[in-house]
Amino acid sequence: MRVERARLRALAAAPAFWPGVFLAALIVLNALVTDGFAALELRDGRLWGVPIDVLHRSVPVLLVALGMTAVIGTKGIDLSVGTVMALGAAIAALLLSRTALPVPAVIALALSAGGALGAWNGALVAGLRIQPIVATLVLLVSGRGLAQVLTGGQMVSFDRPGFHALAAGSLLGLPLSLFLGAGVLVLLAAAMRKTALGLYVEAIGDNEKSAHLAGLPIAGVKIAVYALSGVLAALAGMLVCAEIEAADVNNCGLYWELDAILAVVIGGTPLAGGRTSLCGTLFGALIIQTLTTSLLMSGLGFEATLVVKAAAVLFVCALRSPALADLLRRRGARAGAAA
Amino acid sequence: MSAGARRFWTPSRTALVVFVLLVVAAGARYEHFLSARVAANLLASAAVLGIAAIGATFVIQSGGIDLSVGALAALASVAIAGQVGAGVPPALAIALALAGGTSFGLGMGWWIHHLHVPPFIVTLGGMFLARGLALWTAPESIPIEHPHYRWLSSAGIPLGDGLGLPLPALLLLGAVALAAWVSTQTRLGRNALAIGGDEEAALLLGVPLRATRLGVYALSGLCSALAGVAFTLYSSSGDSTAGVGLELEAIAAAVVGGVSLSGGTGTIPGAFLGVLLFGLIQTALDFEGTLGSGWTRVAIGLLLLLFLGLQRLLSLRPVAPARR
Repeated sequence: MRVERARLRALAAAPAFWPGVFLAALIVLNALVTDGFAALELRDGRLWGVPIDVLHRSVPVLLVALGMTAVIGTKGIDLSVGTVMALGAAIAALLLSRTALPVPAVIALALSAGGALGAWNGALVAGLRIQPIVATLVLLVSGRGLAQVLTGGQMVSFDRPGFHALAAGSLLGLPLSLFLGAGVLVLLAAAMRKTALGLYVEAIGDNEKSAHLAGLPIAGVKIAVYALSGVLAALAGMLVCAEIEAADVNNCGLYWELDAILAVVIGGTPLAGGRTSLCGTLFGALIIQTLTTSLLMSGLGFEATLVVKAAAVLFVCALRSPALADLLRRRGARAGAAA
Repeated sequence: MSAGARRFWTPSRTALVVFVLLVVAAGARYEHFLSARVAANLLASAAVLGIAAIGATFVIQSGGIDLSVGALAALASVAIAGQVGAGVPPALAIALALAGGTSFGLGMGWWIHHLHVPPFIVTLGGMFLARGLALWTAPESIPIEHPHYRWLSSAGIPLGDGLGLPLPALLLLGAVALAAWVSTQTRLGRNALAIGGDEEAALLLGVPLRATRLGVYALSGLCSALAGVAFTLYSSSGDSTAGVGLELEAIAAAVVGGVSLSGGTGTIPGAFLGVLLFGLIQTALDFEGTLGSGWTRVAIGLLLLLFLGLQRLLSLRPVAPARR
């Protein structure tokens, strides 16, 4: 009995616990309140329904947020992911529409472009010691301009079924994208928990000076996490552009850096670095998408989603902060003294 | 580099030199570039960004960040347009919007200070909230039609030849002058720099952390709303999609002008110079004609990079000791 209670307490202390509870409550509430939320049906050997749709739509933001989790773990931040998405999509679309390169080669090229852009961010942060927020701001400002210059500011459409399958294909009755998202999550979790990478990331985020004194390769780890973030952003950009069979450089990934940061923070990874929760980030991404889908299904528009997102992030962070408990206790004490 | 040169090339002086060089180069390349008309237009079109950047500068000086700037400006513009449309006198509508922006900023400051939530998160939430409210109340752009407003939009200081310095440009210049005074001559401005430089030391010296924090975010909220007012004057409408990305542009302009995001440094004239540099690049690319907006963004990104590099090389503060 006592052992079980201790285990329960340990579970509740995990950073992903409260986001998980919140997500579960959100799903149960929606299943009860929103008509057709839990409906699933099998058609042409493939599952269809709102839950599948929510999962499918949350994959791109999940990918970006996973890279962001690693970056935030080192006490950094990557504001450029949205423009890297646009650049990845633009490069892929240009290669697909203007050359006869096979689809895997196109994907590999766009991913390496994303990786190179990310490594550039990492070099600015680790080499020139520019603050992450400004260093990645450079690419945020100029990256979309570069994508606009590359494509002439136009939509670039292509007709390549092989690439479209990235977003529309299915496997074992489920959308292909779910396997992609799950695969990246598992691989990254393995790298962070089964190798020293996770330890390095959290040690650097926790206290860079002592990590340096302990002989950790700080510059290498930082460049690696920013490069990872770039690769995953380019992948997410390609998913978005495969969905609509065109790259829209003006809107692809616009403001996604904020959604990704939101997913990470709601998931329990603190912005101050030193601790990461990939599972929490998964919950965070699912919470955002579930909220968006259910608000849209209930007839409220995009603007209502923004307001609810604001409320979610403000209250989740305030609830987690010990300062709130202090404040309430002091209020309580003052009221008690007055009485 | 010698210590003397290091002392001379502060980031804002570097920005000034680059600005002068750019003006000379553009003046040599384009006919009619060095004219009062171009200067007046530059100031008027830079008004929204400039006013927003001034507010952002106070927050950044104090070691914080404000991401709600663009959304709050849009909300203010929509609020003014909506009220004027409903028959509220423009002066009252503007005053209400300014008060609303100030309280919004104050609220965010309270949340940051009392609940210990990072400024990045709180102002991100504020940005979603303000943008959501603006889109909710006004899905479409609202034109402002009121005799007072028409008069305000065309008002300005005449410069001769039928030219005038329009009201948004005057607002910008006034805001810069006032902010420079607040920053250097008042307790709030100096305290903001103090807590941004070293919070603990400032606290030990008796700088009131709470009042300063609330003050800078309230000031930033006020500036955001004022940027919204400048937008309504410039476009004679309120638009819930106005100012998308304005917050990051404002931060970038402040950084180019020598305001460091680590807090504790930077001046209002420096930030103003950063804004003018952005406006100058925009104007020069407009003169070039055929280049699209893509190149503007690339140029601004490169400029930002150049200044970050220069600040690293030339800044007064020695770079953190390299590993030995």
